Amino acid sequence: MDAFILNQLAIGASVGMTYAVVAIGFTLIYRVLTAVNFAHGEVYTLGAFATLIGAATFKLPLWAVVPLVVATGALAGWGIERAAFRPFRRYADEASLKSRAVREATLLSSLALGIVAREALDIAFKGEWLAIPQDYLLNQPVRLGPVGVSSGELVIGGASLALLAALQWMLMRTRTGVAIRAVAANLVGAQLSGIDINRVVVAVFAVGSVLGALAGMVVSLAYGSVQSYMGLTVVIKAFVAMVIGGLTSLPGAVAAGVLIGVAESVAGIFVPSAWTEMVAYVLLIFTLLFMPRGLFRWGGA
Amino acid sequence: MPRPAVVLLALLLVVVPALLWLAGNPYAARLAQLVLLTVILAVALNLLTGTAGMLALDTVVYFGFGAYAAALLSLNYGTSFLVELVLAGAAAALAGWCVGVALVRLASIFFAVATMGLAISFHATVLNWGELTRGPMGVRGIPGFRIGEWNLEGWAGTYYVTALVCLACVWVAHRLTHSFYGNAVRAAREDEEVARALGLAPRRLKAQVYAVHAAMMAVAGVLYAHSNRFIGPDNFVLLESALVLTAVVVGGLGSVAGAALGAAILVLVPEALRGVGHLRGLAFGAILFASILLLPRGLLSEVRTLAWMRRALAAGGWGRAGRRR
Amino acid sequence: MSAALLEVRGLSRRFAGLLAVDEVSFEVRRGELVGLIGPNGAGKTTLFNVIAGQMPPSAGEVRFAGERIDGREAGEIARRGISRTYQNLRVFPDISVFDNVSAGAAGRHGVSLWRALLPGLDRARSAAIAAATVGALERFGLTAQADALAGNLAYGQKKMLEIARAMALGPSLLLLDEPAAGLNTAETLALADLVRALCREGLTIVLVEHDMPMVMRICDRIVVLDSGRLIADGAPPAVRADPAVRAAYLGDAA
Repeated sequence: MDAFILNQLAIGASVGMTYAVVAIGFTLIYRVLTAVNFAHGEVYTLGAFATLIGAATFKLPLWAVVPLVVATGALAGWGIERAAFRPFRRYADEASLKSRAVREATLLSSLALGIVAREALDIAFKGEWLAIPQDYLLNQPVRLGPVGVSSGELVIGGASLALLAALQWMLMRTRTGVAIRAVAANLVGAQLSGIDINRVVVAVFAVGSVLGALAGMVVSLAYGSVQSYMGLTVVIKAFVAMVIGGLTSLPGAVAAGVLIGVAESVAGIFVPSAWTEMVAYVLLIFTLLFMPRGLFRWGGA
Repeated sequence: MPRPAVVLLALLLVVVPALLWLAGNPYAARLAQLVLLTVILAVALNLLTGTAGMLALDTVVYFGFGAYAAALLSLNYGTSFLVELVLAGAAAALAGWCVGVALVRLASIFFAVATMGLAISFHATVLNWGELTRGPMGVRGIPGFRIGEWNLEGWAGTYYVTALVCLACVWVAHRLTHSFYGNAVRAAREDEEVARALGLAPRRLKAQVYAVHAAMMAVAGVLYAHSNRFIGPDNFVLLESALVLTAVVVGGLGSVAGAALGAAILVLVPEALRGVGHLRGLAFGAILFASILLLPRGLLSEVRTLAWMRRALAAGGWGRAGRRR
Repeated sequence: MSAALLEVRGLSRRFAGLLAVDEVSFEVRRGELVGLIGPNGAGKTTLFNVIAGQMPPSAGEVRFAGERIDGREAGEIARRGISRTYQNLRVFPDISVFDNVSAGAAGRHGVSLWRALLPGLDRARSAAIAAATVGALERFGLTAQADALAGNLAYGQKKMLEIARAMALGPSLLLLDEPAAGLNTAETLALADLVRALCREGLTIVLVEHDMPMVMRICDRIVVLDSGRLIADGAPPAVRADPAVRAAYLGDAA
């Protein structure tokens, strides 16, 4: 295969990994609440803006920007849960937690919160693309045999894999992770065995949002600029990845995220790049029509 | 004729134009027309999202389709807007029926995502299919309303054309909502399986509503193109879908009067904030959030509006359903 | 045409290896009130689901008024005259009581987009739907609650609403799935009278119920299922005395 195509595949996989990391945040929340957090894209944007502020305003070293972004993500997740989800969780039984009314109310409230956050950032930063200072950027060319990529793309891929591994460890090995899995598997049972649902939900939002914010950070470092609407396209693709992945499956969401990234990148070979935006939706529509429950039905715990 | 209809006709065809004439302010007339356009969109979306319970973000697809159809037909072939209303409405209804049949099988969240995908794909198409749509430049110089030699380009003509089409759409929405057809659609919304076991055809009903909503939005798009005289991809971004959804939620999902009220609020409140720059998007978000949190059933809730309509229509003879006591 | 309104022949329904209904055959004659009983998990609700067309049978056939209906679409079966209620209440919670009942009447008379749009065309049919709705509301004592949200009704009233909605469809066969569950003694007695009265008016009813005294008192005939198989079919005293039934069911209930 020629180097250009390999290149496109590598870039696609790297972009796809960011979709996957963002999709994980969706999927975690969906598994616990069967609700969708439409403000998730703004968490990604906030992660990028936190990176910008840490780097450009406070001139922090890169290792110190990471905790800043983690804190921003966790805070944003907690805030979204408190403002857009908790008010609708008045009754703690499964029927009302997962009822259609609650699902749709939280869908709209998080959509509204996302619009508010996005427009507020837009006003505060005048909607411009803001550059990350040069010396923070991850854009050195790297040659891997015949394939030339930038260090940023490698970091995106590597960091995403590391985050997914960390998440897996968290879910399998920590108390919080066990509680999250218990609530996702059987809400009423978890409640009866003394698990505090509200704490688990907050933990899920915090973990998912930290992942989203870190994805925003890595992407802003790789591509060098930040803008208030940057979360919108990514989040919609992550959302598509969640749906194609079967809504509740973490491996499904990751695989679908990478699939979308690679498909976009490959499509870019044949059609003008502006059209590649639509690849995700074409995949989505086909999946929904022919496999209405998603491509990947394997679940895992 | 039932009283609410008389009041509505008098308001839109006599009182508001009189006030606009007295004000003598072209900007106020333009704003009134924009409210009526948004009412069409909100009433159409309310049929789909309120009455049939399908949360959709594809407003801009059919609205945009109507607008581009009108702009390109009138510029390339010199068609009259009346012809365009019929053509765009029929084409959107047909397309809506096909899309509807495919999409109504999807459960609520899947449906919302699919419609969002349609909206973004539409925007990308308009933006990139430059040979047809003139891409990011948009289409300029669209003629105003004319019927033969009769020039309706002034504020009064534009207002009356919009008001008459808006009244027609509200009338259609009213017939579909406040009838046993509407009850059947609401039953399909509540529980498809039970509705089917009652002899109804829930998916056909939902696809029909989807087609009707698409046609109404396309009609609004035709009016928009001829009154704005310019359209571009930026008029049809996802945020505009969210705006119409907000109007419906604020007004009360399922209530025709609520949707109209919500549309008026959503157009007029950001206008009041005009002095403070581009707070429009922020205002929508804040209004939607406050409405969900504080008024989950909206300003005019479906149940109350339906009960009120039933009483109001009893005299008008809506199958005598109202005279049960 | 035979005297049987509903004939079930060798009907089976399998779920992933579990035989929920296993070669069940029985008949229901016109105007009869048949009790369908059995321990939990005996396959009663599954049998209802198959008869009403909400799931296809794995084998066997169902005849209604002499014609095969198994595997047909639920809406068509409903329009042919089979109506049902649900064990776990399934009223439409976010619409009014009137609208709930009118959905059943609309299913019977049919609704159409074009007729809804064109004034005048719909008048006769609307009047018929309205009349059926008003009649069912009165019959089941819900007239005062007509404008209330169905989700806000008391439990017993929701049960009544489900029956009213099913009856607005104008069925010739009514399948009642545990209508007395959760009702107090007075409500249960009233319900028994109502079911009996409906039957006297010519309606054919199949009743799934756990309230044994009620079933024994009002039913003409009782069919007993156990683990998906039919183990008894006869008059109440005979069923009560049947040793197989006592072993499977009454034995552990007594």
